[in-house]
Amino acid sequence: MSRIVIIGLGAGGFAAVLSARKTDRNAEIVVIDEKDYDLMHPCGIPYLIEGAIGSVGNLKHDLNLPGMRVAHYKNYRAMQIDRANKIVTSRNIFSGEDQDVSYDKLIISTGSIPVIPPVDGIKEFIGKGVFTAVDPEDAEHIRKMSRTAPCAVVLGAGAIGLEIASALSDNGCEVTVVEMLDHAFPKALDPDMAKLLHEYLEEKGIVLKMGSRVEGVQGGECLDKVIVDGEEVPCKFLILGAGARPNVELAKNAGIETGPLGIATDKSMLTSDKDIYAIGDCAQTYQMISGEPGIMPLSTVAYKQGTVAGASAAGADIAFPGIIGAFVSKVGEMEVASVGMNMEAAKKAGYEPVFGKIKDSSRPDWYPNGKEINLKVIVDKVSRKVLGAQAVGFSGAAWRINVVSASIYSGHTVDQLGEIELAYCPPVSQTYDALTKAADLAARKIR
Amino acid sequence: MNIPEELKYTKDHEWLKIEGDVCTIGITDFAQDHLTDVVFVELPEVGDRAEAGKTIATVESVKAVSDVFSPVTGEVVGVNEALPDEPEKVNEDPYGDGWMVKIKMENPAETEALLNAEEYEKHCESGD
Repeated sequence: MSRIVIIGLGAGGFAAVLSARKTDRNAEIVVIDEKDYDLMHPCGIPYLIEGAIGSVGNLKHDLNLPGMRVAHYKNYRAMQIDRANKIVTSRNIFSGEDQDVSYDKLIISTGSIPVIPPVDGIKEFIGKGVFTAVDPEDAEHIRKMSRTAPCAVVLGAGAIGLEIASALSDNGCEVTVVEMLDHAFPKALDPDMAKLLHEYLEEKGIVLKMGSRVEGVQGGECLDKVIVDGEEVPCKFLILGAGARPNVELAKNAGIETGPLGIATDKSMLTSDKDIYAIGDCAQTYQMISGEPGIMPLSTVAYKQGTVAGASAAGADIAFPGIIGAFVSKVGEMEVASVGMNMEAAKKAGYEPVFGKIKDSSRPDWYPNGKEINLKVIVDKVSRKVLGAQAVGFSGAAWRINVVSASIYSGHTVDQLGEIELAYCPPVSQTYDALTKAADLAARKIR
Repeated sequence: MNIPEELKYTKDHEWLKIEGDVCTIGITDFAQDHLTDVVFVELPEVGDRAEAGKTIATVESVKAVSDVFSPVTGEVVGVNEALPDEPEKVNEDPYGDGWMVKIKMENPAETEALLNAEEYEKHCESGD
């Protein structure tokens, strides 16, 4: 009987448990995890701050692990992997007691660690006004503060940063967003699409400082102000949404190969050790379109990789198809979604990208209350293949991006994307939908 | 409606800015407003021949495909390279960043028959 050990119970680890159990009813499955509950939903944190989710308890989730015959080392941190003897040494984070856990197959799902920017004094204020927004208990605290403290700064204009910024603003806080690069969602959106989001956020009263850095933090007992571009910005709390780095230490110390982006894995999510898999935010995998190394810290990707690793560890032969990077974020009322490459990434990858772009309404103009939707489809001029798409608007960004995701997955040309039949009903969509229009416009440019 | 004094106009809602024997052509504020959001502009290539009264460019909105007629005869000496990627400039700034084509005129006297701003305004109001 095979013994499968999973380090880390997030979206990826959970998927690995399910998939291993479905593949092998008899496998011995063991989970090692630090939390004192089973699963947490970090993507829900902004909505907890906003108040859409009642309490922190809604973001913590207990699984029926005993019912699935899964042994659970709760509150244990994996300290070291002895690959020669196939043992993971784990330590109880409260008692300090060590426990050796043996494995036949090991799945590393150690996730990522939030980046604390190198700003003088910032570490002293952690918990006293500076938050990383990965801990649901912090989120509860932030929610309370946002209703009483008048001003906040959010560092990083990615999904988590902007979702939180919008929530804080809705709660009555004066919010400033500081982003090092020159526009929001710099990896996903092109500047022209990000501009639409900038305008929306500024209309909401959020101050955006793009191409800027937090240079200092000041305060007494608690945070009082931050220094941005040499200017003082009053700030009772600072949220760090400046990204995360893959947590590869455990694997690295065990001599497992790491790449520039994370623990190196193959199509089965296997590492350089044939009995050890890595999945999720800590695992370097590859881009579906280009085949180049890639990493995509999204729970959807972690879940897919967990499914592959769990099944493989239990003896199945399945592969991860690579990452496309389909994602959606809801910032206030605005939906921002993208898939594949933006213009800059496509140029860097050696393509000759052209795009079709449309500003449209989600409904026919004769049906009331249509919502603005902006679509941009990016294709390669030479092969005519679909490389990516971006959607920014107030209705249906995700479904349109999901269609493009399927199209990229299928290796479609822009002409094929334009041929796809889409569902239509006046309150829902248009006869000639924004997505098809954008695809047609891109095709027109390379005819 | 914006109708700059210094430009010449056609009844088909093109505008001309004349500088020596070269004129710049675009569509008027009235035209862009009627077209609604411009999503695609097809331009000639530099070196192409332009003939008075013949199509020199095509402007598309979601619901219409419209020809832009050359008011003069001559050679295309410039096209607005920004428009294929940013056709919205035709709506945002029809007399500026939304210009379309520059033509070196063979017979500058052709422009004498064109409308001035006052005449063009009357033409728009008449609804012809």
